[in-house]
Amino acid sequence: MFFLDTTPNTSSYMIAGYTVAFVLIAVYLVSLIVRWRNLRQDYTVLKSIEAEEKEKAEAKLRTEEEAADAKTVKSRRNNARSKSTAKKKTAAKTAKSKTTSRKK
Amino acid sequence: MATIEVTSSARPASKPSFIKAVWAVVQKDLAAELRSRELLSAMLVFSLLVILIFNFALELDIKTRQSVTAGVLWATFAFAGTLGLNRSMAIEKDRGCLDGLLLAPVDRSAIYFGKVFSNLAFMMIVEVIVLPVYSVLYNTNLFLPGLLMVILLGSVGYTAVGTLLSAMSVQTRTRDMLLPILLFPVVLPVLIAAVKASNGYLTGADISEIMPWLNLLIVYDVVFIALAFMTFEFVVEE
Amino acid sequence: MQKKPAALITLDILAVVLLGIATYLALVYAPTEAVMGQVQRVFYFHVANAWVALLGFVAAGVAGVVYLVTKDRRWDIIEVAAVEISLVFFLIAIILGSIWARPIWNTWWTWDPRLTTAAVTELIYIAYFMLREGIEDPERRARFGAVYTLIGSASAPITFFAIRLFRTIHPVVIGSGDPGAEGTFAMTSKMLVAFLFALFAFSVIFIDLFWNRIRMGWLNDKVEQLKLKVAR
Repeated sequence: MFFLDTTPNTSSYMIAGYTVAFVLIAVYLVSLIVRWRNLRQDYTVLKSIEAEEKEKAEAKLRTEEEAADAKTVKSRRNNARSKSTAKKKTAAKTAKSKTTSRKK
Repeated sequence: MATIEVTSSARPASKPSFIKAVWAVVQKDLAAELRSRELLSAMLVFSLLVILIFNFALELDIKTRQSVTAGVLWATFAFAGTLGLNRSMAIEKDRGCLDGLLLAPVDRSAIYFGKVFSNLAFMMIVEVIVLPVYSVLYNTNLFLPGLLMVILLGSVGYTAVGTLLSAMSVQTRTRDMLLPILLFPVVLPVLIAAVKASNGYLTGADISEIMPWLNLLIVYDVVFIALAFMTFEFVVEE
Repeated sequence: MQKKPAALITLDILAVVLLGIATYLALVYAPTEAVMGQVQRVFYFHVANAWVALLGFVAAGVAGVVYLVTKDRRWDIIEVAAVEISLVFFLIAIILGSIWARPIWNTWWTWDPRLTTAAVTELIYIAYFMLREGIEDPERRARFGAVYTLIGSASAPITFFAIRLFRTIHPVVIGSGDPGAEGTFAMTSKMLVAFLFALFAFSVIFIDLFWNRIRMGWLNDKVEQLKLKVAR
């Protein structure tokens, strides 16, 4: 490297250097922003799916409970009916047995 | 498999069976390899082909050839080494041996050392065969004790890190392809030092010139054997 | 997901402002170097970027070790952020170093220990991300990442010394032929101001990016957990 009287004009390299630096920083920032946005979107979508599924599960649970309730109400009614018919039957039977011999 | 033995020393049974465990792993690998010979034959043929390629890639006269012998040898060993490391771990995983080993009541590091020894053994067998072949092909004597020592030190460093990394890569989706990518940037100091030291011995350089490289190799070997055996359990735990 | 904390927004603005001032100082305030000309100004950003990348490198190594010890997910998130930022800034530093070398030594690449080690470290980082890409299980991914960071962090300094040893014994016959010279020049006080300010500005930029990236890491973690939960 010999010493010149005038300084060499290397400004084109300087410009190239700074351009590269800023461009790369910008590219990284943009990638961060884009990835962040995508993640936000994914998050909201997934949250809504999660909420949906939760609702579905709850609704299912509710209908199951109602069905179970209905069943128990039904069976209670049936029991009551059958009990009353049974009562009637046994009443009739005991009435019968009073006149005829009873089988056990 | 290792049974718990009552030894004469008062130490708990795990200590003496550590060496037994290491030896058991090595025996298993050597025995399996002796029967199938798939690893050794693949590594060997590959090495010879690499030397062939180098012969044409670096068309050299006798003078320049001397300066690149060290480089060609180590490039060959590095590439053949990845083959061996890959297959060795893949065999463990595919046959379920790794899971079996993990179930055994032995220290994880015993498995690590066992694998390192068997991988090292395979690598050295290949090196021992490549050296005379290269000597004959290029009419140079490669059987110098200094060179053999460098090859040992370099291979130790290479397999110490390679075994750990192959245990990781075999559990990924990309498997075989990943090992060289993981290994080469990290094992670079070994290659640099080994090539320099080998070259020193081949050209008959003064020991003072070779010492710094040998020191570097030893430092690398010690540091990475320690790091690898400490972190091995994190790599194979389920 | 919580809103961005005010401190972080302030830091963002501060980082941009400092970057602007640093650029002004480097391009306008500092005098032109006599021997190398304008390209020497690249040096201010080159060193500052390398410094930031080195911070990231150390942070990654530490985070890796702490993760293996504590198994706490936050250290994995810190580790990924550190590696990513270090990757970007080493890249800038390497390219700037190359651009600086070209007019001075008439070569795009010098096998200078620092530059070469930076390049090797870049390769380690890329390997790191490829390793993580190939693993499905987040816990295993974190574990393997930490192990590789540890190995890489130990290996890079040794590589540096190996190459330095290589260069002192066999000086490369390119350019100036002096392995020690990395464009040595005497710094005047104004240059020193620009240099130190660039270091400071980029340190702040590092912290800003680091914090932001860690926040993003947490969001990523949450999304991944949700994906696993919902995809049943």
